[in-house]
Amino acid sequence: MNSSTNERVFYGTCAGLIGFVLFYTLPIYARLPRTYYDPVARRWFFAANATPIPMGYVGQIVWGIAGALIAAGVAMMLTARKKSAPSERAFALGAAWTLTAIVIVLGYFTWNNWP
Amino acid sequence: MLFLESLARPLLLCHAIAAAVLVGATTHHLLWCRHYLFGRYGQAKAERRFATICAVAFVSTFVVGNLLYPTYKVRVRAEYFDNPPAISDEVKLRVAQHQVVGVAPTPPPAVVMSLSRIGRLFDIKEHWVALGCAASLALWILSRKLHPKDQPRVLPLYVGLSAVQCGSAWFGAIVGLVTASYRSVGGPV
Repeated sequence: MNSSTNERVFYGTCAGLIGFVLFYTLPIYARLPRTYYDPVARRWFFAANATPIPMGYVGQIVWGIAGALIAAGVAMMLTARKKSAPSERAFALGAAWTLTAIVIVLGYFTWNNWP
Repeated sequence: MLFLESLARPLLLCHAIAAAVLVGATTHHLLWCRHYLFGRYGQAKAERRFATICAVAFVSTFVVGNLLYPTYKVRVRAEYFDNPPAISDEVKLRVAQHQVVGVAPTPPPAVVMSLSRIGRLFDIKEHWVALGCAASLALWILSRKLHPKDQPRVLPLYVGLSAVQCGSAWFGAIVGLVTASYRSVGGPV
């Protein structure tokens, strides 16, 4: 695998993960509409809020997957256009941003749901 | 009847087996990755195989858990954890059954606490495993396309994702067991 493909895979993976964690959090943080499943009525609906029983988890995951695909696609396109090879520091920053985004979002959900 | 409620017990069993494989595989993976920090790549081939096992186990556990989720949400969360009268009735029932069996009865607690805190702990787990599953898939892609053996600059991300994967798997398994212990060995208090 040549270095250009390496960079695309690396930044695509980093951006995909950052996109997933941010878009997974977005509907909760910004109260955006998402898909809910009501297990009692056995029906799906699209709303920003619901009563306690309907499950918005699947809709939240769909947001996350969409964010991952968009972010990874954009990052791979941008990396393909870049002429110069990224530095050692750029790789370290990619890893740091990705892991930090995961830790912040884990902390956000832990804080918000703390018993 | 709720979605897949009739299959809830076999699904829970599959979920538990997949989770056991997941915890073992992710722990193994992280332990192997620690050698990379010292530049030793002797077990890279086996480690790559474990990255695949981890990703398959994570996705399987996650999917089966989601199939069980409607049953949990109604039968456990709404009808029990978030329902103080049900907890209070169970406390009374257990005290009565202690007397029937002949076990020295323990006095019922003065205040029956809500179990919503367990439901909230389970909510935290849900988010941790969703992110852990994404990390596991990313790790699998890196293990196939850009392994630290060939590209050492990827190493911090690789080991970091392995740690996220392992931590979220352990946290999910422990919270899952704690949740399942209510209404069984632990009783309601």
